[in-house]
Amino acid sequence: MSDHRILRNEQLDETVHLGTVDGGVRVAVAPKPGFSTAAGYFGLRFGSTDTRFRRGDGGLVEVPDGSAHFLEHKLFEGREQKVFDRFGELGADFNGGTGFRSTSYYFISAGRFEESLDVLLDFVQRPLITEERVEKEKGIIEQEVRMYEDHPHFRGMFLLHRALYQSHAIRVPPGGSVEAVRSTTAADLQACFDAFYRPQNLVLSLAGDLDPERVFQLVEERIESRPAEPVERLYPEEGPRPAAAELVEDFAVTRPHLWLGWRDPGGVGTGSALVERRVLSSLVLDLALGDSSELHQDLYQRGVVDDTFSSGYSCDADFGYAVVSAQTEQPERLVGELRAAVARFAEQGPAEADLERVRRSAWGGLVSGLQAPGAVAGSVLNSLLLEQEPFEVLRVLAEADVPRLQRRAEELLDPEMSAVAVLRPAGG
Amino acid sequence: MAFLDRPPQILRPAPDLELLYLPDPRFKRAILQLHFDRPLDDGRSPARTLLSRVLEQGSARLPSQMHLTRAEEQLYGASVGLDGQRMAETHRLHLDLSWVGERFLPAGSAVEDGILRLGRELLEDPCRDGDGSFPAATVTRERDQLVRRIRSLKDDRDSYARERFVSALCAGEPYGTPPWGSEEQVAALGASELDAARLELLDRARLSALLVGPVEPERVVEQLADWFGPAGRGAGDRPATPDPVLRTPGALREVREELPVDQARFQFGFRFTPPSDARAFEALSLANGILGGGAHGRLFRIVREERSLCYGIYSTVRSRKGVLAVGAGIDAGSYEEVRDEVLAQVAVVAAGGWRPEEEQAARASVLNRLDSLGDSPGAVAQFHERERLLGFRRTPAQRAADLAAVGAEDIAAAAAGWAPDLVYLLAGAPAPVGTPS
Repeated sequence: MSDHRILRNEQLDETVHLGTVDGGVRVAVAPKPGFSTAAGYFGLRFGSTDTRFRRGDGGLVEVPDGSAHFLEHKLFEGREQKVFDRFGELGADFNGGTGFRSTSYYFISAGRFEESLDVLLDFVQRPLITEERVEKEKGIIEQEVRMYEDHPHFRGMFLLHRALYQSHAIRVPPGGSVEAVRSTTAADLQACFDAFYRPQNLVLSLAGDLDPERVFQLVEERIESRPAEPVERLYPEEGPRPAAAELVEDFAVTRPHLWLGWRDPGGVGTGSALVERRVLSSLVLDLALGDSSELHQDLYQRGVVDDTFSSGYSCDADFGYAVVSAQTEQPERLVGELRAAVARFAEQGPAEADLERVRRSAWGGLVSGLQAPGAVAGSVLNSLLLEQEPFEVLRVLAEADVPRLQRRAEELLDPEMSAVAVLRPAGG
Repeated sequence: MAFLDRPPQILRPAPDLELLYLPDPRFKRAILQLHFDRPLDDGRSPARTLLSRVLEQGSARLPSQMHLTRAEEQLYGASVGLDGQRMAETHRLHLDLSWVGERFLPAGSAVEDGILRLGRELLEDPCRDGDGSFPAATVTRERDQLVRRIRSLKDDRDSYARERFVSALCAGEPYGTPPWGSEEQVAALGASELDAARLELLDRARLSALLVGPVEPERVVEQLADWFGPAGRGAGDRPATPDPVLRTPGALREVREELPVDQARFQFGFRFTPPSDARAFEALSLANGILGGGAHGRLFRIVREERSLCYGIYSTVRSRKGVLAVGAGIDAGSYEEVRDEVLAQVAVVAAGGWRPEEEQAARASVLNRLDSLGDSPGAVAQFHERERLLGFRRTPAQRAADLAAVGAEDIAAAAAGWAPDLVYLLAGAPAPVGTPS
């Protein structure tokens, strides 16, 4: 193993041992003495947006939308025995998830850590992908895709993505469409696995009442060595402005559902710049439109927004956007009020006292969220996949100040980069 | 693990208030739950539902949601909230407080007293007008929002289908009516009904409480004693929570409702006699695990993995109410196949026809959950509250021992008691989807 170092955060009372095993997998172990469960998260930077890429031999590969998600399903089939059954025998909780840019798999087990780790490392590294297995899975994934398409929140968010972006791959949901699922082949999935599921791309994050030295050794023994292969990911070039000021879709809802988004100007890559952008953007939204803001109080008491109102920020290396959503009988009025409120905030900027109060609350939420081994392992995995130092978010939160928030607000809440998506009651 | 053998300490801050206390310094957050139980059909459930929304708008000292949220933020994200749920024929309103343990806060920071005060203020000293009633503008606004919430429930197809299923399955029983009531019931509520509901809640509700996490009990006990002890609400005649209404089904009922959905929602309800002892309860738990308690269950493996008819299919047990429910999202055209397969798999479990590894997986899943309890204050609280409600009051280790004593014949007998009652399908023509403009 190489690059072994120990990271300690006194405020959180958390320690993480970091290293790279000889096969090339980056590994993190967070000892949690006295805890009953132990968790393993295994992930990589390969997600639903990676549908066009060039292999090391120069060959161009194009796969259907949703291929990363389909591959995640197939990995759970296992080679000789279904992963459901293997984890079932151990009683462990387990699941996987596919995002735009990454995929992850996890287990949480009380007392069967090493056996569960065996299963995790085995099924992620040794799939068996056949046409028969792929065909069998299509009905299952089709139902999953349709489940999401039936959900107003999910549907509206992707309508907003299509308004905010002209060609970016996040316009397509991670599962793809029913048609894309039906067109997927075993060769598509195998090509994705061969290109991306290489030890050098994989990150393993473990937490529990564990001995880091022993765990590193266990992992070392179970990593299959495969040579690194450079892969060039080919993403469509995004235009400088949103694709549309507003998109409206008729859908079976009882009143209009509205999403108002502001697209960040370009990405900042991974690493500290990304965590800083995420933290500052979230603070801006809390200060501008959170329940404790005067703007929200005014809008709520006048009945412009109700308890369906929420705000959030989403980002990765090459995209980022703020979004507010609400249900309202008067979408145009709400958009006008929100844009005016946000413009006032961007002009006035946050007050120092408000920042300190919101910072405290964010601190409490972050600390509380890093409690059980599963939460710690998941957080560390996400940090490492994004080339960030685990728990770096606390430092960024502590260093946030009014001038930086003011600049972030002005940059993020640019009216020229804003778009609206509305689900309108069908027939209304 | 020590916590597996450790029963909660039982503290009595007031004569009719039992506080279960489980200290644990490993946790970063403490939880205090205060439960107020009233009969679901006492005519005030809609008022209590609206009341919880109005109370969350602030107190006399902090007279708006903004002020209240700012106070929570100052306390490092401590939180106070009110919510309701139905448990068999009981309507439970719960006041939930949580705060970060002081070990994880900057030196000298103290949040416990502040959040305890906030919680009490919401119920005892809410924001009111000069004449003592809830502000009309607040009541009107929150009432209108609740009406819209009820109306828009169908926008969330899963929740809507589950609610319609329960209403059909338990028609005529208190459990079959949602606690929030109908749009018309809510629209008729005013400030006087809310104040009456609040006073009745404080004076007549059955109380119970839980305290878990990095917290010493003294201050909490002191506060609760002051609130609910002789100087506060004092003694009184408080009716016990109602017994569950049980039903013996006749012929299988099938209900189909239509909504413009792309994916149909399937629910299948079975009735059984609630288990009377811990062993029967564990047999029921294992039978449910074998049938559809997770990805190891027969329903998941056969209906999803072998027949590719759905993405997920699971069974859940409401043990005190005597209801087993199977739910899935399916293609409407597969309705009969799925219904028949569920019936077939229930029959397999009732006949003891499962493989040994299926029983082993069901046992391992329950044991893993028990062993995992100690890592989450919320899970610890939930476990001991359920044990209190069931009347067993076991530790996780005692529950594991009961589980070990259950044999295959007990499991089959539990499943043999499941009587099919009602199948519900929410289906319809695909939603008319417009082209983005």
